[in-house]
Amino acid sequence: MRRPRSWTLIAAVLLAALLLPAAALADTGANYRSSFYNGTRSFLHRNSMAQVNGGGGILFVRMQQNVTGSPSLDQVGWHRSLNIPDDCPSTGNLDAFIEWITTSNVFTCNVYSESSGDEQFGMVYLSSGAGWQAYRNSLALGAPHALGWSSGNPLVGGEHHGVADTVDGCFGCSGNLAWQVSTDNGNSYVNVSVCQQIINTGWSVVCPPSPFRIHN
Amino acid sequence: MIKRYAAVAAVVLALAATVTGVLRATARRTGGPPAVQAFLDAKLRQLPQLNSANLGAPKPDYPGTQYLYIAATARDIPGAVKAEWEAGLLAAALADSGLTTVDGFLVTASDPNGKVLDENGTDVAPASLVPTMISTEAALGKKFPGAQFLHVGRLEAVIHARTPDAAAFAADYPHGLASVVGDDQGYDGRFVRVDDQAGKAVVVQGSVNRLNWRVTWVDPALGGSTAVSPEK
Repeated sequence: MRRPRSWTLIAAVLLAALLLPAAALADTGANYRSSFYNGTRSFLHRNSMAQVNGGGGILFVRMQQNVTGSPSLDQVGWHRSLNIPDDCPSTGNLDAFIEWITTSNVFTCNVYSESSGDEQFGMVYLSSGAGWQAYRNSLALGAPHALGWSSGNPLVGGEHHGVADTVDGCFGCSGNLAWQVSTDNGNSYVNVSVCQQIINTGWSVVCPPSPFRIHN
Repeated sequence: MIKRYAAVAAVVLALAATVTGVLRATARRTGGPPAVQAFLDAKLRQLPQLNSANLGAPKPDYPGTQYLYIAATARDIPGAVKAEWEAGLLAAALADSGLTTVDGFLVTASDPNGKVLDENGTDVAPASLVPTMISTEAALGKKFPGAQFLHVGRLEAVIHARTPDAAAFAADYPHGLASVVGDDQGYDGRFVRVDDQAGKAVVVQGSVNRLNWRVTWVDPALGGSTAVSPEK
């Protein structure tokens, strides 16, 4: 049977690409809570997110179904990448973003125009049961996502992939809203003061309570 | 006599074709005004995984005033992601048509037995964050030999590739995809599927530039999740 030209040619491209030095998928620095909540929020100040060709990163406020057992998550924050097909559109700009991952390992990401580098982000499971809702400066951003779970582990931090660049943010700095968690769908919050961390190579993560800086 | 049989057979075939066409059109019919129906019917002919599209009020807690609800068929999750990409193209095209308001879309992808595989969608932004420069099929055909092109918006590309090392590709799929497709420019949307040597999907990714939106699946058996876990 005749093999389509595209497969032959692009396979050759892939083979060449795979001979390049391998890079890690992503590296991360984050604070998290192993207890389960249905909402989290924090003011986020961006120190730096560089624009590097072939690199990208995020600063995020996230709810994950289970940090030790499930990749399903919903997160909001800032994103920047250029010419690398990561999970979010690579506009090269500093964008706000929402990314959600289903239990089937489908990653979906929207980017939105960014504002000032000083914003409050939150992720809450709506009491209506409609799903996880992202918030930006206390306003709903996008539609809720029904992911099949209604409580999870909160995380805040940064992630980087591709060509080296800088991801550097501060959570609850300058007297602004601290990193907080909720057990009543965002009706009330308490500050996080417990220190549980994910620190991949190259990352610096300061323990809660806020303010704390996370950067690579 | 033979001529009579031939004539009857031709009529039967014509009737069958007509009935099939009507059934197909009915199955894909939308619930909007005639101009919207005609628009969606024309676009749906290019989108093989989508069965129907209907306008309706947003679900509770969804933003806006009108959503596009789309039903699709897929055999597996990679197929569902392709259906979600097609749905995004359709929603973006309708939003930009000026025929009606589209604040978002929701696609339900089911297998041939009716079991829901995935449900996904997003809001429709007023405009793209980065205006897309459109290339030509000829130019993109040189860049991606054998690619399929659609015109749901202006120009979209469907690209298939294979990798000799599925595990390595999945472990660093952004770099792998970059080596296949390069940047995001030249088209309104792009769907890329990378299979292993046996034809099993390793990574699929659909992008719709107009929506500032991207959906990706990586075979969980090969890793590739961006989610993190504490180091042990």
